[in-house]
Amino acid sequence: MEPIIQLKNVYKSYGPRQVLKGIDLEIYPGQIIGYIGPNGAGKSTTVKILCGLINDYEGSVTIKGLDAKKDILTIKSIIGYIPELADMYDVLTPFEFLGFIGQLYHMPEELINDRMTRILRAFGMEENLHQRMDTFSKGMRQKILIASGIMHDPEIIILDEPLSGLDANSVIIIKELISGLAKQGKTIFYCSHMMDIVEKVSDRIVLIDQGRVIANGTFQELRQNRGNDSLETIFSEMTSTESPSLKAHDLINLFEKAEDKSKS
Amino acid sequence: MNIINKGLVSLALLPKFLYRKMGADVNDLRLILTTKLLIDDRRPNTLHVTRSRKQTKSISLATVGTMIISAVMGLFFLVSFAIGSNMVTQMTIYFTLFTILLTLTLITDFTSVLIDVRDNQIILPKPVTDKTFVLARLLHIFIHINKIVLPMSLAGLIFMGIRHGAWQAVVLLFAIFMVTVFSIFVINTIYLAILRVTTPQKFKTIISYVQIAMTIAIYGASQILPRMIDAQNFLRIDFNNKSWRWSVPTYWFARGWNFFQSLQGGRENLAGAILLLAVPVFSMWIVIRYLAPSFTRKLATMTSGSDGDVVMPKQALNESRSFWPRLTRNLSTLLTKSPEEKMAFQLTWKLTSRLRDFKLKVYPGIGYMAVFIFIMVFPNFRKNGMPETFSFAPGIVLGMTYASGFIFITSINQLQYSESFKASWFYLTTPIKNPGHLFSGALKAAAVKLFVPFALIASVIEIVLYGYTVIPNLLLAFSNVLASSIFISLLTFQSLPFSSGQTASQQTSVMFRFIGCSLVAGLFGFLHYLIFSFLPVVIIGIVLSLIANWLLINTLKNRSWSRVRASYED
Repeated sequence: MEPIIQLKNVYKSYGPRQVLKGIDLEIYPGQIIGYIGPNGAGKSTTVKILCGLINDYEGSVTIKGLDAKKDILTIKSIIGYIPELADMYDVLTPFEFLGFIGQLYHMPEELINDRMTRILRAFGMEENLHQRMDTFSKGMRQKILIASGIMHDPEIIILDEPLSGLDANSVIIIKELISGLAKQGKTIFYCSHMMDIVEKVSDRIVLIDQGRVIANGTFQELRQNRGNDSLETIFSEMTSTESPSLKAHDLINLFEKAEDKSKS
Repeated sequence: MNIINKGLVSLALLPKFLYRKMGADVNDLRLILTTKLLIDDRRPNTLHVTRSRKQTKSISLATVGTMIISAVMGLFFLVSFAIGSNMVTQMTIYFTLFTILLTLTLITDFTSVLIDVRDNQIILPKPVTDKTFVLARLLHIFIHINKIVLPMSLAGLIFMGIRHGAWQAVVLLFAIFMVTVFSIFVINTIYLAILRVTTPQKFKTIISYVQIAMTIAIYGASQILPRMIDAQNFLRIDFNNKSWRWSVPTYWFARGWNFFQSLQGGRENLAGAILLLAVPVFSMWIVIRYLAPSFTRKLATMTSGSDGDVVMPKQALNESRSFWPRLTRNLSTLLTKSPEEKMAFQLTWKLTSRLRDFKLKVYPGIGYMAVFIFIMVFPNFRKNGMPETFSFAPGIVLGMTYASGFIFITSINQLQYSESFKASWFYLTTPIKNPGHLFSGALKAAAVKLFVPFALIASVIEIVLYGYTVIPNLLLAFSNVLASSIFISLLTFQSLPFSSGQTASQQTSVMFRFIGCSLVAGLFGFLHYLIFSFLPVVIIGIVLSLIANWLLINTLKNRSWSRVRASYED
């Protein structure tokens, strides 16, 4: 099977700072990829390259056999991008905002209306369709962003921390949505810090640190290789030079010492 | 912290003993105040545009700008001393101007400070007493007001000191303090009245409409009132003869000033003195006891909308079928070709009605335009009513017609900008082939919404006044306004609609663009003036102008991504 997303030796710098240092990645149709890494590892830069937001990188990126530098418009039409709590013109209503997004994907009006109504109904927000978004909570806004990323029925869905601000019930809906869409043959590129969810939903986990892929495999494979039970522990061991629990203890000691001093 | 703020903080904290007695912690007070003032100085200011993002000077331009503009206003108030036959009348005019402009300045410039309650989240969970918190808010307001009031009163105080003596100036300073207290009461009342008739969420929107209405009213009044008033009588006006005089609070203050400056006078002066002392004190008591707590409570509900579990009013109504959305949809279908152009048309139509910063920058122009047209049509308007005949002159017809494009020209200079510019990320993630279509869609929406209605009104007025013979000239003028606007858009549109934040340098460039666009339209207008009476030439002009429009809009539509400034920001 041909990979639907392929990154070969991708480098990207912001001025003197090199953010990606030769990323190689192959993703196949219908896979759910959990893309994880510490802050500043290069996750968002990879996402922006895949979505066509950045095109001044070195190396090769192909999506469905199309060169991401040359055929970016076709690529954009098969990708659905769901950013993390991105800004919106919140003086608009979801009906207006999603209508505009749908038009930019050249969807017919009836289809736009049908899809947005059904998606918002699933999120329990059907009655908020004509309400200005400046009255919405974070979770409601994130649901609208999710709707904007999937309403044109994309083949590849790129999610950047999609669960921010969502309540427990909505998280369950999104997790099932991700699994269901993958079963329909859609490819999911899931970028997150929430290890427990990545562990549960991903077919394959790609861990990057300092611009390089440092682990790539199923959760079972990672667990066998590292001899650990949870993704959180594996992540911490591979990306941190110092144990997080040691750092936490340092902080606790700081207060104990302060208390001792004040007593003495 | 800059020296001005330092001085004002020290002044505000002078009665430390009193604050401690009230239960406030003076150290906490000082810390909160200095932090708030630091934040204020880094906040953009609506009064002036000369602000850069990187502040290096200790006295920020925001503070200096506010103070300079206030001082200039204070100079303007000296006009009061040239009007009226006696000091009470002059002081009434002075205090009236002072109250109106102080209230307006505070509403326009201070609202953002007053309704910014983000500090609640930081301060309230900390061990800071309620008294300290409330007092910090009040003193912050006091300091900010002084940055306006002190320079605003400077010219009046100097004039009073030189002309009448030091004691009179001291009394004026005291009276100004009382007038300021009264103005705070007026502002609080206005805010609460607005909050009573609307939801806290719509508060900012309503405030922006109040700002627009006040700007229009002040400009309109400054232009039309002097024309309505007989200048000779006006200069000799004496409020002491007017039966309505006691219904104007600033007359009470003028009487009060008169009492204290001479320390003598009859019953009226004494009544004024009592009112000068009692009304501000009583109104301050109302503010502290009732208005401020009520306002703070309302503000608290304003901020709770962002994160919490807000109970939303459910709307079953299908608004998409109501008149205005249907009109927008039909117009966009009629006037645009591609989905991108249609989307930009609809987005622009909605955002130009809803974005606060756009409305504040563009809509006051309606007042300027209306007044300009009024003055052109009725140059000899007097208080006795409408003139019996209207003078017909090509200059008047053309002036009126080209002036109807004023709002449109102002709006196209603002179309690229928005405070919410980061919301434009979707332009880059969706498959937009021709970004030029976004420009043309936005321009068409602005033309239909902000030019066509005014052009129609101007046409009706001119046809009624001058007859059907003006129609060809009207058509040529409208076509020229459109052509010059598209021409300027071609030269200046770089960012997609509402996708750029407005920095100081961009605000300056907007001003230059507006001047440039006005000059181009003026040039067209001048050429039009030359051919005004030659109908065949006017008709040829219409054809040429329409062709120019067609060519220009197509050039704009073909603009590629390489000529668009677009960046994605997290």
